[in-house]
Amino acid sequence: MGTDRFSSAHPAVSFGYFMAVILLSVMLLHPVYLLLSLAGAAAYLLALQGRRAVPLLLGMVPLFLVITTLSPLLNPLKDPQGGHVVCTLFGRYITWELLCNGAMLSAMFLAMVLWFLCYSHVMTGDKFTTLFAPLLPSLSLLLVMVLRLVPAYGRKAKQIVTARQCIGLGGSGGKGQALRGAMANLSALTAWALEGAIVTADSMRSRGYGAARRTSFRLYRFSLSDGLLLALMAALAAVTAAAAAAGYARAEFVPAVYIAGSNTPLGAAGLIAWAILLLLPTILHLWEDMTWRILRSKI
Amino acid sequence: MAHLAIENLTFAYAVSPHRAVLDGVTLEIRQGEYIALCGRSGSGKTTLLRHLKSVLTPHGVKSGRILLDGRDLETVSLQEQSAVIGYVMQDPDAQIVTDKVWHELAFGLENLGVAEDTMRLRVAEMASYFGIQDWFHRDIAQLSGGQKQLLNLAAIMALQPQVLILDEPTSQLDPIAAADFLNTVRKINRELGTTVIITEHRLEDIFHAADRCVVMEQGRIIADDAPRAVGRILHDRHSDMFAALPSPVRIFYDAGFDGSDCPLTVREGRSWLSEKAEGRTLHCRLPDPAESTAPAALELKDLWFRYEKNSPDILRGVHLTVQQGTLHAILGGNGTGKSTTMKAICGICKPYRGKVLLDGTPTHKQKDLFRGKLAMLPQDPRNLFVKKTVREDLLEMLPGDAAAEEKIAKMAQICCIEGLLEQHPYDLSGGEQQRAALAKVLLTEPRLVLLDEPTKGLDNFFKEQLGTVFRSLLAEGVTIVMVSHDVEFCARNADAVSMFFDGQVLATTTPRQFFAQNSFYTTAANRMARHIFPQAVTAEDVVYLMKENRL
Repeated sequence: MGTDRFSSAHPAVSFGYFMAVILLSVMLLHPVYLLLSLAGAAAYLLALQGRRAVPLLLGMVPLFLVITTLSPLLNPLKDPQGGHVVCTLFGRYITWELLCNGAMLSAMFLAMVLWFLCYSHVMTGDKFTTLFAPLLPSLSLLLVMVLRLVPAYGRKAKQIVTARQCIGLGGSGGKGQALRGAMANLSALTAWALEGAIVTADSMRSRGYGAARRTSFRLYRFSLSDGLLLALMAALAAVTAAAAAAGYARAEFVPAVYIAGSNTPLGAAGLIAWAILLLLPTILHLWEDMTWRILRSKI
Repeated sequence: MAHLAIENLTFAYAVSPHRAVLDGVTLEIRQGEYIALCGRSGSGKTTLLRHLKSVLTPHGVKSGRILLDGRDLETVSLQEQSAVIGYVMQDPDAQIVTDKVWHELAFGLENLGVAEDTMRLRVAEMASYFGIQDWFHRDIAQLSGGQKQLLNLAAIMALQPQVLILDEPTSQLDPIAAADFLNTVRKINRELGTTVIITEHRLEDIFHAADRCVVMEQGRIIADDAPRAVGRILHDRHSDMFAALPSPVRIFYDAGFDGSDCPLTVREGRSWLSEKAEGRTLHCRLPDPAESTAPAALELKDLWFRYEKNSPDILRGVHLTVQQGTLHAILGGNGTGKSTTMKAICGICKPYRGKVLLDGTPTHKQKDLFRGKLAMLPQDPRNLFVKKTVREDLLEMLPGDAAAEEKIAKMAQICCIEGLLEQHPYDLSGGEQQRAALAKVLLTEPRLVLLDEPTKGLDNFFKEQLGTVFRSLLAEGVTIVMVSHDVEFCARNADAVSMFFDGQVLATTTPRQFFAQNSFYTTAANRMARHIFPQAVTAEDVVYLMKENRL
């Protein structure tokens, strides 16, 4: 479990950050922007997981190559797109432009995967429900209960199958018998679940469920530093978005190659803001790491 | 003024309005009292407790009333009742609503709309008082049964109730977790002055501690007095409930004593017995049961098992020999590998080293292992119920058998469930479910039956019945292996006892030798009498020796 500065921030900060970064990564289809996004996600995953993330990241390289080479095949047009034909495959022209386009899409896809890995590391289920409890109290409680019951049903189903196996009612035999067995398992599970639901309902009502307007207990408090962090992220995202809106993050390969440069102040600012935004969790992580080292060396 | 007063309460369920489940119950409970409510399963204990909280009160025909601090309970709002009256139920799992420990602690406070700052403080307070800070952030699924039940108690105490009602809270827990839980309840009663009303099968743990003991029989209160006096009332009435009293009390009356100095605890029992035996030379030999020379029905040879390649070993070289036609009990703490051994015998867990021999042949080479050879009764008997009536469930085991009805009738007789065949399995009480499931298991006509904690959650009366069922099976040459925490039951019924520890069988002996050499892991009767009669392990043994020596 990540316990760095970024993961211990208020869930609103983490959630806002991931939403912004993932959305922007999908929209800004520009090689430099995407490369930065990939680097940022990889760096933070390394910071969170340490050496364990290395095989995963290395595994991304062949995946990248496979998606890149296969994506031109998905192109619906039979005519060559772009001028530089590399080869033909299954009767289709594979051009340099199509390959570049594929590489872009593939990089975007991988960046998403990596950011979602970081997301699941930082935004645990309880953070998510804490975040939305004040907005949707009943829905959030329902989600919490489902989070508990689904694995519980899974465990019980396994117990029932084992119990029936041990009195010779395992699934061996023909298809008809297997089906009957499955129905019996389901019926046992349903009876058990309904029985449990009655107890749970009693337990809820006896603790005053529905007696008053619900408030919600939140483990996380929104502190001043959370506010500052959120403001900083918003500012960085805003600058990036402004640069993108002005066309500095546009790139096209098909039918002709066009990659926007960042040689004006706004273009440069956009790129720098994007880079800082992406590396922010990693920077915070490293900063905290350094502080620890210094503190320890003073002892 | 009484804190809680029940005035002439009579109640019948809507389905059978002429059968009164509660019959003119009158009871007064003062602030801060600790009341032990006892009675057999079906005596109306739970129905009575449920009347003390309006949302849980069952539907039916009711007369009489309940007063909380002089006010009719029905006029007390749901919100106030939720906070003032706490109710802990039997099943540790189903009572829990949320997925995280911290959230469960806060759940009641959230419902009552407590402000966030107050809530934070109360949750922190409860977590500290119950010592659950260490697992505050955990998933509920990672907790043990004992921890879950402690969490249920803490979640209710966070509402700061004045009355705490507990309906058999420890029936699903092992003895160590149960004692821990009951100590916490005592602590709450002593330190916070919370009124406690508790029902329990294991009277040994609560009888002496109660201020008053209320005994119910068929919906009526038949005794309501201090524990010592209640012991006497039950003895004089020849009540069924007498058998459920703690060993010292039973020994006192069964050995023919009477009077006001009846011991309630092991400590009192020891000094009472010492007094009686002072200056006397006693003979303390008990007749030894004949050694069984039957061939081995089951042999485990050097079993090693772990769940994954890199996980720690659960079984670490298990050796065990079970003789034919005996009841073999496996005792030991939680997580020592007892249940895993059962699974290994059934082939559900595949040991990576060692062999399981059934009648001399390795189980993995036997065909149709679960037809006429081996069967296991799971810990939760409900895992086996799939039909609407017990009879249909039993019929499932005999597809296309012309003599099915006869076989079922015979099995019902052996398992004492003749009157229950037409009922829905979920409508039966715990002990009845256990026997109905056992009947289903036995219809495979196994030569070896494995039982995983068959006495869990059963009251003494049902345990007695289960013991009878076991004896009739043994008489037919069936071999029984049971995993258990129930020291008293094993001492009375087992032919051989094995101690499990750290993934191994440490020792296998007769119950008498086994319990006589243990000083802690043994029966209450043995702990009470061991300094005088080291070999006596059951209350009957102690009574027998006392009579022999004319004490």
